[in-house]
Amino acid sequence: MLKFIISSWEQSMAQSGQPVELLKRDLHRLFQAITSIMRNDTPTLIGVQSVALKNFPSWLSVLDKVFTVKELSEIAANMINAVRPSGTDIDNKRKVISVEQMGVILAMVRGPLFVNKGTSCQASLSLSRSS
Amino acid sequence: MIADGQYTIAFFNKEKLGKPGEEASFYLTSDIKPFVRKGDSVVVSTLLCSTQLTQTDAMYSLLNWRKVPPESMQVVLDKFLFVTSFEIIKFLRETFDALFAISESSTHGSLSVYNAIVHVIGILVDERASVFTNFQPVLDAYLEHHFKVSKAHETLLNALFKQLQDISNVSRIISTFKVARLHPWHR
Repeated sequence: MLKFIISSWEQSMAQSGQPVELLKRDLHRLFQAITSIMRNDTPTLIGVQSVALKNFPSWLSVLDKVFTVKELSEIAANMINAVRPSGTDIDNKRKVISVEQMGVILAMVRGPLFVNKGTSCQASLSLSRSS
Repeated sequence: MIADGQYTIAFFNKEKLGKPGEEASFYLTSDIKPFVRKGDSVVVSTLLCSTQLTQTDAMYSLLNWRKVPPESMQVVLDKFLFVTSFEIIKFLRETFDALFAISESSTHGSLSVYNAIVHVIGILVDERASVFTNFQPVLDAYLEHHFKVSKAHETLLNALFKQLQDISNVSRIISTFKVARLHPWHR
């Protein structure tokens, strides 16, 4: 889906010079909606949160055409930290979420955000600030 | 189009019928009961095997969506969600072309088209529910060589945003998150 969005925007940019800021604004709005879902404590949303975390790293590899490494790292950090199991809340399902959170961090460290010294420094700074 | 299925074909009284129908489908679909010979019929099962044609009503309507009256488009999009994966994979490019063309025309509900697009991408990426995940390179090729819709990002982002705001529809949100994923590099 994100590939369709980015590809369509690229065509729009080539045809009418649509600025990247508009797309960034819409994508930020989208990630705010996702972060809001991640923050929600409703038990029925645990499955949604788990699937979102599991799939999130692959979104970053598509979004690097639009966002800088710093911006992507901040989006990722917000996403990871939006779900925070509280002390009394750590049942088995919450443990699954925690494992998925660690999976996202691992995937980010292995992924394109950490491909060179400069970008890895920015990405790790964003992650460490938020964790 | 005659959908795949079983049909009871009646025998006709030639003398009453007069001039025979010019199209074969005349005998399957027309209401010509007065000419039927009572008690005489033959049962025929039809099954089209083709890589070029479809006998699935919803698929046919979607691919020929310009001929569908606007008031019937919602029904076509709803029925499309029940078309078999095999049939959709057979017409993958045409299906995407039709869905994005529908989304470009402002007369049809964007959320229904969006759900149909999510459904098709889901067939390609959902490893638990689909056997067609090895078709992802076909999707990449479509994106690279055929996808020419410069306004699609606006429609998709709006629909995506609307979908995420309705947290009561958990299964739809999960489908959305799954189809956002393509070629994970985190394995």
